[in-house]
Amino acid sequence: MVRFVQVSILCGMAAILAPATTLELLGIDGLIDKSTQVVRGKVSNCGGAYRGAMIYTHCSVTIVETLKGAPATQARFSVPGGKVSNIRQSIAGSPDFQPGVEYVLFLWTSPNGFTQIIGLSQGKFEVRSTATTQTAVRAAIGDVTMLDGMGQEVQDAGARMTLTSLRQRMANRSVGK
Amino acid sequence: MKRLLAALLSIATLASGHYSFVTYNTRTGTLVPIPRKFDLSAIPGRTVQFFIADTAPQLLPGDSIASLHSQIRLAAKVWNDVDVSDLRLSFGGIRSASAPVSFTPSIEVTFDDLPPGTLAYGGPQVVDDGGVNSTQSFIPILLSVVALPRNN
Repeated sequence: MVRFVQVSILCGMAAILAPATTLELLGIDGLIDKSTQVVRGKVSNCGGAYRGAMIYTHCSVTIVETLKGAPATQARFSVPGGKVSNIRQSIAGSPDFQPGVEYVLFLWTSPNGFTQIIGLSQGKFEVRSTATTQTAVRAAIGDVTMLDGMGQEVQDAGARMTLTSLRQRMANRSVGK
Repeated sequence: MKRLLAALLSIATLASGHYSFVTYNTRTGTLVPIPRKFDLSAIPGRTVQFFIADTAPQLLPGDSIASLHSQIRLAAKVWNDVDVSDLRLSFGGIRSASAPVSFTPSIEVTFDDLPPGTLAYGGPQVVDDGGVNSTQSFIPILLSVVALPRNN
């Protein structure tokens, strides 16, 4: 815990100075294990609001498939940064969404009921479809400091996998528990 | 602690070569970067105060709020020891997390529920009225907010 707190402070102060974002790189299995809900759907109705001193953008996702968690047709989640009135806050590495685009979202709800995407943009995959395949793709995240589990800086290369593979992987992780 | 300070210095060094928050006043032609930064000419002593929210993060035995605050203040000292920087930081005090947002140029260190894979994030708040004046050399930061995890 002490090491974690130190790393967090370190990263936070770097954010003051740069300012910047520091993430811990999570693989697909990490995203699956640490999420409380994984859904596929389209994002809409996004709007900014203050939460303390920080601006968050709160969005809805219309769910077409629940890959983890209780089946639902709608969910709300928040991402840091956004605009309230004429004040804008920018957060490096925070995801944004395009209307009409389908995403796979790895969501996490805190004990206080605050739902966010895991690891900022790490938990947002765009679904790209061909006649035969649907692939979930996440581009490499720029403008952030990415650390591994030991606190060493690493490069993010993005991620991609077919939805079929993702479903299988999730089933395997579920069986393994 | 030495390791923390050494790492802070190394990150501060890296950070100086890159800046995420830049706006361009045109989509075509020569792109002139317009950074978001504190207007130091308007800040007494060119010193930006930072405030720490009173929301206590989860701590394990052996950790304490006092030591957490101490480490944040030590991190600010590392910055202040960089003599080539015009910007100075000073501890402004503890601020209630429920206090109204103040747009006196300052830094708020807050604690919130950060999801797994997220160690910290922060960013400036600026006026966004839909465009940047072509003669503007920078966009003044009203407030910079840093979120640290309050959960473990």
